[in-house]
Amino acid sequence: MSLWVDKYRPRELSKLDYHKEQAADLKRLCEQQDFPHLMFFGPSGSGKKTRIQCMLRELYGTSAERLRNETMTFTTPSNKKVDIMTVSSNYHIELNPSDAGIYDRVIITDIIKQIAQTANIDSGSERDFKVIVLTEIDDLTKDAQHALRRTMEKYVATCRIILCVNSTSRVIPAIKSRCLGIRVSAPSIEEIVAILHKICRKENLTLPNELALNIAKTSDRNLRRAILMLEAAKVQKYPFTSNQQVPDVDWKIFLHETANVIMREQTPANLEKIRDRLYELLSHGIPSDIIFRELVKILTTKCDSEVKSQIYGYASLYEHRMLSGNKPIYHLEAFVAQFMSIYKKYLNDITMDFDDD
Amino acid sequence: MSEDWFKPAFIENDIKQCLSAKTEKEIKSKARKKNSETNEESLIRKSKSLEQTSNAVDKKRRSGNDIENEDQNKNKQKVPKKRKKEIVAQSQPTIEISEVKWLDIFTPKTINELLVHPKKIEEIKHWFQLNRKHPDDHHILLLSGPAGCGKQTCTKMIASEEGFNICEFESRLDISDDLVKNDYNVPYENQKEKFENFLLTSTRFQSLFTTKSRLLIVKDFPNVFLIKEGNEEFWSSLRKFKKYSNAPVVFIITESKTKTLDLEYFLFPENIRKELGISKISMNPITTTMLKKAMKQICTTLSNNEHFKIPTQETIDNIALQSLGDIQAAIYNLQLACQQGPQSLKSKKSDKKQNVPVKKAKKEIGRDEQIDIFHGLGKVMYPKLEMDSMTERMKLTNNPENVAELFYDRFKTFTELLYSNFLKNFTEIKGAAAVSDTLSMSNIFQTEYRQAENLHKISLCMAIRSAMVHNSEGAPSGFRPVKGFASKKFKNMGMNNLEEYKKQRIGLNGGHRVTKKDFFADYKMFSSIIKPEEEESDENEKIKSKL
Repeated sequence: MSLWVDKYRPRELSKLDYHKEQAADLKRLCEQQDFPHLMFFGPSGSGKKTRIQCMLRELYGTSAERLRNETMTFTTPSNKKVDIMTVSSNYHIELNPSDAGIYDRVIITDIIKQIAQTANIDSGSERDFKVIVLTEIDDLTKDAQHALRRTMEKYVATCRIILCVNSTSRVIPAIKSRCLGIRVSAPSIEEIVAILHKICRKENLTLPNELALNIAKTSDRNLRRAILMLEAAKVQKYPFTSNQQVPDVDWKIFLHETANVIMREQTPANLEKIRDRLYELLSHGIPSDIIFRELVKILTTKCDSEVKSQIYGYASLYEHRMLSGNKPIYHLEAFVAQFMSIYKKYLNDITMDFDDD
Repeated sequence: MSEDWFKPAFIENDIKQCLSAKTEKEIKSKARKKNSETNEESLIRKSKSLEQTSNAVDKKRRSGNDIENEDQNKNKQKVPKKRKKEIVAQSQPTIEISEVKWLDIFTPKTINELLVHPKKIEEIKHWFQLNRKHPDDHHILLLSGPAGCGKQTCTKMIASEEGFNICEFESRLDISDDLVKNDYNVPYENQKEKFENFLLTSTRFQSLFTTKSRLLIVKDFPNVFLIKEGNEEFWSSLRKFKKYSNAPVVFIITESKTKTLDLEYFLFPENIRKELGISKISMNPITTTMLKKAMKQICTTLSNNEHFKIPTQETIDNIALQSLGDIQAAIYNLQLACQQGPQSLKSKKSDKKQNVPVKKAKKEIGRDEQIDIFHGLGKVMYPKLEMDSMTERMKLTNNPENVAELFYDRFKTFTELLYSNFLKNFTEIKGAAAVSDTLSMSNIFQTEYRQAENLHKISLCMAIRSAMVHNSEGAPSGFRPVKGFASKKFKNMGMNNLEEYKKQRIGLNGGHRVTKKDFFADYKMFSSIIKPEEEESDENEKIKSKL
């Protein structure tokens, strides 16, 4: 049994539920002979991967859906063997170079080049190029990105590259300028609600509108999360009631607790507790940028508007540092420490004012 | 052996040193000229004594040593070649002390004069005696100890007392210029072969002149053995030696704190020592009291020599402390202090306070301090303040940059340790936030790999300085054990989760890829609710309930 997220994922461009105009554009793009490199960008859970898969089907027909998993091995210059998982069909290959960590450049230069160099053998297909789908390009090192830029130029005759990124801000301009950028914005609440209803109809379930709205709101306009939530809610309690508890992601609840601990006491000893909690989150694989964003969001709702601007200032500073550094915990903690310091000063000032009165 | 070859280079070095010493003196004398005429006279006298010195030493060497050097000595000035590490008061103080390296002069002449602990001497002697009795079991000796603790001198002295002729291995590669000039066909020698030859053949034939047996000493190891996998070759040479030869051999190794330079670890690991029956004696650094005693003795010898100012007791104590049990360093410093230290300082200090110059001297002399990483951490986490006499303000006793300098090579470990431990020593969040901020900055510097070297140093300096400066309240009292890396606790958990991702991701998204981020942020938790039957292992449950 596959998850609903996967089960009800649209397979064709014409069956997409939202951004229909864009879907039509993509379809026209596939019909043309002149197919450029593409870069899909947008927040997570907005349907970038779905659109890429639909395009592949549009380009190559159903045979692009016959997938096989392969593990490719490559050797780094320091003679270390690294494995990387790939998913491929006859016409395309999907891989995530940032899985190789600091060796991502080697993947780009070796593996991708190797794939790109060989032309498609199958003459039956009308396309004379292969497609390489690369995900999480924004997590690549600068070196790897530059290597990629070169590959894109050189092997344009045999292959097209489709990139999938969350934020273009970390992609070097040289790559951006070589791709046709396609923004996939997150679906609106109404669109999510409509999709949830559609799924429930297919599953023969009745979904109260309030619950659908509730799920859509808690999901942060992340469609994947919304559908997963719906399915989890169904497992927890069915038939649905309109005021049913929506299961939220566990790390978010954990972050809320963390924020409460921060607000309770502003001492170095407490900061150490926070450090442990942050470490726990990170070691559970929650991406550091998501942690950072959520934490700032939660903390700013809890404090007075007087200090908010300061906090946003520091948040942007440390977020920037976190992206350029290699140990997210240092920067997360620095932000928390700074927040504590500001908040404590603010509290002290208030009590001083009371004393004056 | 080929040792004759290398002498010219040695001599040249020494002459250069003498010359540079001379020019230094000239410059100084120019400065001093204005003050007094008498200085000029002393300069003349000194330069004369330089000539005397080399001649006198030459004579001494010629009379005292073998005939083999006779020919070369005729056209070249000779300075004693072997580096000696021990000193004692010399019985007849002469003028020649002025310019030569004191190490060469104040070498101990008898075992009683050695500064090494008598028990260690006993131990080495015992080995020699055992070697006489059972040459097969006590064939190879490994002697280790920190620099300048008298390993070589001690061995040589005991060996000669036990009746051995010493044969020392030389692995120097520098060939003097005139040799190259005269003969373009300077034969190239394979260092490994040379070493094997030395081990196997140098004791093969009995000398015609003496009945003494020979003792081999290896102190410089050929570089081929020190590179990767070179130790295997070294062991094979040793095995051959063990098989074919029965002459005793002593390997002398200077201890080192860094693992990559640790010869004992690399060339003589436990299993090899066992296999070849290598005995091991490790020596300790020379005690400070012994150092002081030795230096005092030198000073008394020098007391009637007008060229030297005898340093104060305080300076001697400082030298003894700073040299960290290294007699070589101590003697060098003493010579420096005697020749220029007190004089130049006196002329400079004039109206400054009394204790300033002494402190300065203390800083300048002395070899690099080697301290443990935890010791360094202590210095940073419990910063001491003192009153600066110049500015009348409080300042840090240990300069942060100096502390950082000691840990440049381990900057990552140190930053990580500092990060894991600093919070406990802060009582105010403001200071902690400032340190946190610096640590985050220094992390960025450490990520940079292009102009890495300088940036890494700066990053460490920043972190250390900020930790020392921002703790204005001082650390709370009470004992707090140093914690290991904060990240260590969670490492396993991270690995487990990664494994889980690798297992589960294949089934998701109809065979397409699910990225790590998406998996952990969304899929993981919900799929555990939706498909509880797949979540059996207790451990996962535990982690989840914790979260």
